[in-house]
Amino acid sequence: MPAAVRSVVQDLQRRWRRLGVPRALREAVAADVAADLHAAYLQGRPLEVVLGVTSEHFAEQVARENGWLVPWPMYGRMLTSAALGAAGAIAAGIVLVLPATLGIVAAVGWVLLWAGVDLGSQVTASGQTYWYAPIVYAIYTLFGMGFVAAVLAAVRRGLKAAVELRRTLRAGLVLLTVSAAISLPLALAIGHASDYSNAPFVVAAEFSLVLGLASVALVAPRAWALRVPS
Amino acid sequence: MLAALDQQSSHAYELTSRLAEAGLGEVSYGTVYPLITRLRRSGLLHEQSQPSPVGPARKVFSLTDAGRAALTDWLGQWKRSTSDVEAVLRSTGAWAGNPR
Repeated sequence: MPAAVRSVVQDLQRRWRRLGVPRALREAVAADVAADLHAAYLQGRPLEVVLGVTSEHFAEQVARENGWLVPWPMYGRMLTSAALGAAGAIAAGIVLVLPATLGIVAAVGWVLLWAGVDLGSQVTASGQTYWYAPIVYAIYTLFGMGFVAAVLAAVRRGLKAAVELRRTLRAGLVLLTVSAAISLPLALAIGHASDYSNAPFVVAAEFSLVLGLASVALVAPRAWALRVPS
Repeated sequence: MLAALDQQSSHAYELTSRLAEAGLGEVSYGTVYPLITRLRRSGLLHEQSQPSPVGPARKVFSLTDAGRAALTDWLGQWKRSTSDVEAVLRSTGAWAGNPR
């Protein structure tokens, strides 16, 4: 395909993709248009003259006449964006939160010792000392909030041209928080019941539980936002 | 467009040339292709893929039975409208070029 034709067709594909048009639909029409523009190119006619309108206008007209100007759910793009946001948050957690947690716990421990608090006296019925537990839980709760914010920010970026995005994100914020409140303690319970085994089956069960509920917490608000009129 | 495709099946780009040669003036592909899409989705056009000797296979469009019926209806309306207008113009003398 000549470069001039490819450039126009890629621009059209980009605009339709931004509208959320599924790949199979836009590629069929793109091939059609490419064949016609190829014929015009072989006749030596400038493609801007052949089109007669801007590629933006042409893309919109074709989308309209094909019935593509509808609210596409874009579940695949949403979950991919969420996964990227989650991966970024986890990487930031490993690089920043973990060392910061250790540092904060150490600093608080020094302060408590200086203040004369006997850290060894914080013994529970099971015989374990957990004086730093509230600090760790607080930091991890903050990390969890940052994690949810990162996922939603990534979804917002990935679906920036989508309709009903704001309602999707608002409902997603609520459901993601609920899913985390349910899935994380359950995952911890599985870990506790298996004596924190790192057997593949146990780890897979824990990840599936958390990721599965998180995916539902993103897809359900999108479906709701598109079905229920605002 | 329906009349041109009834006369001879065409792909969208060829149709723009044929319409221009028929006297419609410069008709852009950017106008014709979306309209062809609308007619096809309305069931008035049939599309068929045809291999091309130069380049990729092209979609060729032709009228369906519904398309021919729509063309017949439209032609009938056009003839009625133009004959009514012509009658008015003749009765006022404007047709012969004798306005007041």
